Amino acid sequence: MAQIHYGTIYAGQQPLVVLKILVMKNITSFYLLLLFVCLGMQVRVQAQTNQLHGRVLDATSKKPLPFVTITNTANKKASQKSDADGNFSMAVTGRSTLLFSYVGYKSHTVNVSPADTGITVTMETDISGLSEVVVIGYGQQQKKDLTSAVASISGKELSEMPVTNINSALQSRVPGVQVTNGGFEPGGGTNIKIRGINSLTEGSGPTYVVDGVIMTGDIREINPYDIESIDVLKDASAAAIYGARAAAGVVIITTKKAKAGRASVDYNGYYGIQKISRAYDFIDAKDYANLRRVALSDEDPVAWPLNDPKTDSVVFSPRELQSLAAGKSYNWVDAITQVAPIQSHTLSISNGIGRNKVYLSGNYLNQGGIIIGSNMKRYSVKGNMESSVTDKLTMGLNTNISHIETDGVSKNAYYNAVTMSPLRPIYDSTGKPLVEVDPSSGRISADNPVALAKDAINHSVDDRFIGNLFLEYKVIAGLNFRSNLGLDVYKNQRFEYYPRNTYDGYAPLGVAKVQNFGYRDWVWENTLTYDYNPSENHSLNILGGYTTQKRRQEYNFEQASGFPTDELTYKNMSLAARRDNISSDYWNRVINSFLGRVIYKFKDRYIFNVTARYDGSSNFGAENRHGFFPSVSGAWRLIDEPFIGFKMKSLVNDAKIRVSYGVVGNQDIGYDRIYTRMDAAAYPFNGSSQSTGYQLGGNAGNSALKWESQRQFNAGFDLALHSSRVQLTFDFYNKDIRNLLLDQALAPSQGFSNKMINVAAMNTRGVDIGLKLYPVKTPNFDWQVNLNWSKYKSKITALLPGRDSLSPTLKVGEAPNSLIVDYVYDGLYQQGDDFKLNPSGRPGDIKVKDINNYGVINPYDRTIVGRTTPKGWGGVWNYFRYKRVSMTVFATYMYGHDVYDKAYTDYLYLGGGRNVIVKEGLKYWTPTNTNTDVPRPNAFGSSLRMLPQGSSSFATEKGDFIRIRDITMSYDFSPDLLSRIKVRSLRAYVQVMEPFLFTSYRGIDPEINGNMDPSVRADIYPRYRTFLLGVNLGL
Amino acid sequence: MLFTHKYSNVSKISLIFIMTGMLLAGCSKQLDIKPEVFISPEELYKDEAGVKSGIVGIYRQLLELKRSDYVIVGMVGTDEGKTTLFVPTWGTYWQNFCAVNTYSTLMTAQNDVVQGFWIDCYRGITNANIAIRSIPGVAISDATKNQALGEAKFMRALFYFYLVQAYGAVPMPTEEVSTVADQKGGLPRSSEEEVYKLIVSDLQFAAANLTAKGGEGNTGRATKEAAAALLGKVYLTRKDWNNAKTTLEPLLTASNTTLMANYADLFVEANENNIESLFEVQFSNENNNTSNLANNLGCWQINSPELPGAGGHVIIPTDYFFNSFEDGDKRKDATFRTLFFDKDGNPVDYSWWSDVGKPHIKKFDITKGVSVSGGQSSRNLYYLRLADVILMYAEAQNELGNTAVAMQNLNRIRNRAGLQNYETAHGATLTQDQLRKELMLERMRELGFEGWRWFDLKRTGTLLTEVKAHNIDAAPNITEKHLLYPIPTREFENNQSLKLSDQNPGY
Repeated sequence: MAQIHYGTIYAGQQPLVVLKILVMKNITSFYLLLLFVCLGMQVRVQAQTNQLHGRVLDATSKKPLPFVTITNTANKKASQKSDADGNFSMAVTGRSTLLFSYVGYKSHTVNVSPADTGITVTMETDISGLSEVVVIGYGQQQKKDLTSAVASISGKELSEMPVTNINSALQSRVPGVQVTNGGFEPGGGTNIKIRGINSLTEGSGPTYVVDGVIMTGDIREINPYDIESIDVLKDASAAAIYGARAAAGVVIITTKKAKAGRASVDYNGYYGIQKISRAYDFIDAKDYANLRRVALSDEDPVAWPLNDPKTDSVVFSPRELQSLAAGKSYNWVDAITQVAPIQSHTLSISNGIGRNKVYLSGNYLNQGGIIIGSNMKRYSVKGNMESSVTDKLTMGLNTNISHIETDGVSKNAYYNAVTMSPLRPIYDSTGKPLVEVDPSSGRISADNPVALAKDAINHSVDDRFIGNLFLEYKVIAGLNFRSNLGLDVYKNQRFEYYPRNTYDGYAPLGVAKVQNFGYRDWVWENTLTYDYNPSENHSLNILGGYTTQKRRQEYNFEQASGFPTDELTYKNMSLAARRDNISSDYWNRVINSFLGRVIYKFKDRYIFNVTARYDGSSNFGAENRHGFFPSVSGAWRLIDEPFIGFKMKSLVNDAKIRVSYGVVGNQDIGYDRIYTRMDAAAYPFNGSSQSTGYQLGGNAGNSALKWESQRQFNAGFDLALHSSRVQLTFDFYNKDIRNLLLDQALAPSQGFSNKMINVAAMNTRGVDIGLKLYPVKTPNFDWQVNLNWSKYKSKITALLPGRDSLSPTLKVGEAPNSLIVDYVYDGLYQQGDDFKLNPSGRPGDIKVKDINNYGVINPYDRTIVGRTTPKGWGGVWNYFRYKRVSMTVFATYMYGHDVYDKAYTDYLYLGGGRNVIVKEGLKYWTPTNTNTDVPRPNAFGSSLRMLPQGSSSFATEKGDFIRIRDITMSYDFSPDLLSRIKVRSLRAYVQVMEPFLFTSYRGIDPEINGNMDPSVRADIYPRYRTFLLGVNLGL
Repeated sequence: MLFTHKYSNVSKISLIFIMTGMLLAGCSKQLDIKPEVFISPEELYKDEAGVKSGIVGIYRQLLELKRSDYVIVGMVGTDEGKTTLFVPTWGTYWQNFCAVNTYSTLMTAQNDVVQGFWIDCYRGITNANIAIRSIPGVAISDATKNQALGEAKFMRALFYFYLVQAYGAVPMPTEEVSTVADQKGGLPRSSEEEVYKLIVSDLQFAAANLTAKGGEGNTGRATKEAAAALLGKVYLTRKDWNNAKTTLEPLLTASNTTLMANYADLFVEANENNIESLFEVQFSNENNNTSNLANNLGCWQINSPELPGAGGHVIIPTDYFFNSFEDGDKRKDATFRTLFFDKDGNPVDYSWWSDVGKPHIKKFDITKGVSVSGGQSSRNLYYLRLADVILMYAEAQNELGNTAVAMQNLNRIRNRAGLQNYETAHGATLTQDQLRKELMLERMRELGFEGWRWFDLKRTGTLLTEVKAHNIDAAPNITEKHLLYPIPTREFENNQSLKLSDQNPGY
């Protein structure tokens, strides 16, 4: 009678499945019988059965929709899914109503009669997103039921922006999440902050959970195409289930699984080129030469008259003089940079038909660096499989194996290139990079960056296996047991060699370094979930579990120098004349936890959530090892209240209020901070060979250390208007963070340099707003805008008792790690000025303020001249579609932050720390050009003349900017055309990344982490613009 | 049927809970993980090997102090040495470095050298204190115990002696555990008298218990003689002439200590830890055991182009020092270099380059040794040698009015330098006051750039006058307050026992 069309995959299936079909047939018969009993009286149909064939299409794109659930409302058990081409075939008896439902689409009902033989059903996308499933820790929830602040990005959104690193996908897309780049070399990392500053020590950023496995460090090994969704748990209520590791937020990554009833093959690939996007505009060799003459002559016009060959011989090296005579100049930046290709190819197979679901994918990514000699290649394979042996038991395996090869830019190759005299030849007569040895020191005076980039080796290899094996068992109806065994094995090897034509390698005759770093994390989690729905009004979801996670981390390093030849590089360290350094490290860590959660729903509109985790960590001493992290939250779905009338509902589609409060922790301390350790301290008593010894290390152990605890309050609302064409999510949060880990400096007379303590406190409060707009939504033309805006204010509320400042950059009332402290720029000295503050200064030099009026400039005159935390930031994402052509324009912005841009001010004038200056620098101060802020050129370096020394607020600038992050044009080929060539979907696109930057900032990148850390300077590795051509092909 | 179904569920649930229970058992034990990569002080000081390696760590701290640029303390800011004019142009660090020579406005409590010297000394003291506290409880022979305690106390005295001379009254942690220090993050300043009392008692213990110089396996270690010489220097500093005389006297005739025949041989790498040497800071060719002094002084490429340096024109002698030698004094040639070469061995003329073209020190010449480069020198640095003892003894005798004995000892030093007795050479003998001055000059000629000049000038009360007369960079700046360094900011910021008014006057 009733038949279920399983498709061809069932041909030749194992007996179990056949049996199952029989069982299902019986059940179906039973229900049908029931149906007849119930309806038989009213519906007098000639129980006529017909095989109905049909197809489901997307209403706008007319693309077939696979795995749409089709339910006969009269016979709910007989539901089935459309196949990969959107086709379905269903037995229908009498007049029936079919319900078509599919995540992300509005449910649709169609009345059919046995006379219908072939129907086409079109489904419209549901833009409200309320039925979307959001992954929360150890479970999932429909978006409409969320009580806490969780932000999500779907795999579909991810696939629209080809990024090499998942964090980049979150940048300015998710309110409350601040992503900054850690560097632009291929494979460079990112820094990610969720909801502002959460600690003084700024640990390793948020906790990542990949398919249920808690990991540390970033996750650049995972191919973004393999990701199904990213869910960011922002507030304490959402994150508390991760207890001691949740203070910096939690990012949950769910990788793609095969979808039930669907089989598909996909190829995603792109090819592109990358070019420097913004560079300094330097003066040419002629201006440069002249400037250097002026600078020296200005110091002593009698000893060094201008335009005198004697002066030239002091100013220039013999080689520079040759270049001058020959009228030659050299462009070092061009010599070291290149237009670099980038390509990525992902092939994936997904098969969800039957009881075994398999998703397999392989990815190859090759990103060339815009500095010669830098490159990254990533090979990754992914296999997710799941097998339901019976209705009760499911086992599955998720694996991600990756191998990354990175050729780094050795040290400061780019920096050296931009600081090199344009009069210095790049290559010698044989075409090799010219390396000059300073006669006075007998060493290479400055690295030839081309030699550094081409001949020095800085190679690193990363291998990572991330995987988990899980077992799910339905004990009784509603009660599920899940055991999850996860593994994260990471190994990083780094190989470096500095040959004889580099500064580091010249005197020691080659230096080789080999480093191995690795860890193994395993986690075993056992959870029981119980769903209990005693009546229509009450629904209960209870979770309880126990987890244990163990880590072993190892490190070793060796360095040797003095090799017979540069040919061998690091490959045989035993040939070295000197073993310079050997070190190794090893540690274990265990975290054991209990966790629990109760979600109670009353009448579907009052939702309560109580979560707690109890963690024990070996990082801490016995008395402070355990921490308890509870949270409560509630949501009120206002929209579902009976008092919201029909009229109101026609305008408002969703209204929900959420409130949460909870405690989360941070356990991120070094594994040895509770101990006082003795370090190796040898002494060579007889002057030739050393005796082993030990000495106290710099850190005084503190066995009383405990967790940082963060109490976070969150209140928010979700609102949707005008058929969900306006969707607003608003959240306010307030975080009080106590027991902050602080590396306290000790009085040197105590013999230790520091000790970690838990006394400081801080507060961070902020607002996250996300707005989605659908201004136009018609079959031919769509326009969608996603906007987000975030801001926070962090401030330290207590440091040590009685101390409101521990260092110039750590003060009560200010955000930690975000102050720029410097001398205050006070213009340039003019002729006739009082030079009391800078007796060796001269007109045209930088003047700084005597803040404390001591009559001298000393370090106490440094004060806060800038703050690197932004007043606000976010993104604006525009999507336009006209028929099959679509375009996205994604802009990011940030404002109200200051950037310490010593790089630029150093390029502004000779003696500012660089050799080469930008064109603007030609407007330097002279007795006749006094109305300028460019100091006079200085032959002997700035420091002597510019008391006190170094920089001033002259180097701090406003960093406000709007960046067009990418513009993408794409074309979706028509399904009709595709069906003829047996292709499910095909999209081709072109994309430009970082085409425009709007800013008044004078340096290269207003987005750099603008504190005074010299390692994060814009001139280490320049930003680039990418042009891509890509396809998404589905079979 | 129904019953069985239920029963099986119950059993399954029980099974899961039993499994979970088993899992939890022993989980709190799992958290007891001690890192296996280091040892604690308690673990170290429990046997003879541990005690010995703990003592090595204290010596190491002296190497740390002297391998760094803080080695210039005692050399510059004197009539003997100065930094070159262009060093300040290299940036903040070097300006601080220069301030120790020029006493400029950067000579503050925040000065890197002022802070670093203090920090390094206290590191040594803390390591010595741990040893002195722990050794009595270790089950080893009394002889081993006393030798180890003697070395620890010698080193503690050495570091406190630096501190008390440079900074005056200082916090004085000892092996006793202090609750005040724990609560307030540090101790208040102890008076100079109290600090000297500790130094004297430590050195008396060391002199009584250490093995004699030349004993088996004690090369490079503190010995009885080294402790006596240092104790004599401390008495001299305290103007306790009698004790200085009686403490130093036995060293003059000791069989295991005599002057090297040829002054220049003192500065040959192969002659390290020689018969004249009493205590040296040891360096070796191993990567972490090298010093940077040869680099700062330019003691590389002296007569061969092979051994590179970097910099090399950081510290130079004053003209006064260079010109202070009598004709025929062999020490002049052994002390200075006046020729410079490029990498091909051709002479280089630096004369246009301000004071860079002036003579440099070559006492720590690396070109004939095993050093890798100027920045990685394996050359030892004298701390105490017999010539110093002889001159100290002369000083004590002169102050006691025994000018003739003092002259004899001065002449012993002169003769080794190839000079005749003072009376013969100058045709006149010296009054007590004249001899005082002559002895100070002689100390500079003999011990120049061995790290004592600033302390010698301070001890004899001549720092201000000499610096004003002979160090052109420092002359305009030096004042009375510079007889003491400021207590470093980092100490004030973190030691609640100190009030701002506790700072040395003038800073």
